[in-house]
Amino acid sequence: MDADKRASFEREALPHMDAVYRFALRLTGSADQAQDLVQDTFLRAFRSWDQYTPGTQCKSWLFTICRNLYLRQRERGQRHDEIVDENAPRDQGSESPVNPLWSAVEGTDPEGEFFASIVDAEVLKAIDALPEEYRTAVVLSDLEGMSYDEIAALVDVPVGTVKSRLFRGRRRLQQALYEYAVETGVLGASPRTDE
Amino acid sequence: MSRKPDMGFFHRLKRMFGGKASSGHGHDHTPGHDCGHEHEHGSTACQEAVSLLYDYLDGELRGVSEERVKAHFELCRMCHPHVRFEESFRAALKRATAGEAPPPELKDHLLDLLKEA
Ligand SMILES: [Zn+2]
Repeated sequence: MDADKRASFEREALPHMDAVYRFALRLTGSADQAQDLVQDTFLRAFRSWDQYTPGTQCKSWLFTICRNLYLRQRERGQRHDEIVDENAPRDQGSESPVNPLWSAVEGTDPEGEFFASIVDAEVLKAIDALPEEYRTAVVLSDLEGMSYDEIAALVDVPVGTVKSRLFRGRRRLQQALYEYAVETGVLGASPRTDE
Repeated sequence: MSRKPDMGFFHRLKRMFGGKASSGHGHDHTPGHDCGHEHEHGSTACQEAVSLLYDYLDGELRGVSEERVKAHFELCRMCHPHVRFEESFRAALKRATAGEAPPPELKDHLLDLLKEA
């Protein structure tokens, strides 16, 4: 019996280790803490393996465990995140579907090619600087390719909240990367004249 | 006398209605057709499309607007740079995290832990 359990766990859950590690890394922001979190996640998952419904999204199930463990750790004060007020009144300008950066780059780099020139470390720094709610949504959608429904179920919020977190998270991230690109000269301030 | 009105007639008609003509049904854009006049941000078609840009890129378009919005983004020259902008952004996120893998010993360590569990 026990050997069966171990075998099915190793067959179904373990292949997701890399993905859980990537998620843990974005949650904790450190390789050491991510490794610890991955171990805790898989131990917890193994002990609860009979609660997992075979054939359902194992990766989502592991991510849920991972995130819950992380949030519990955070409560104990390991990482201080900005608290976001999701009920804050929507500011017309920043919530417009028309991205304010589109007009900012219109004359220089309308297709956002500057994003490709930003070094990896700087992109990671910007992701890690997001409040956890936004960061999780962006990571699950843009990096793990999960659907709105999957993210909503994983994080246990309505789909509308997922969409608004993605919107705000992406805008903040773009703003941070844009500012970095301007400061470092990756994105020139003057319009291109090479046409 | 021809029984069919020429295409120029339809184009002139659409111009008269401005962007509103394409906000409902009968979206008759063809590739290469210059319809920039109805694709300012103020135009209904562009506004609708831009408000659904994330749904489009996330593969989450649903229902009646799906075909219309997809067609719009594929053909609208005003919206095209915005789609590219968002795609460049996403590509940068993917690229920055692509190389991240756990240390090779983590799996063995995990298997040992599970044996004791
Ligand atoms: Zn358009």
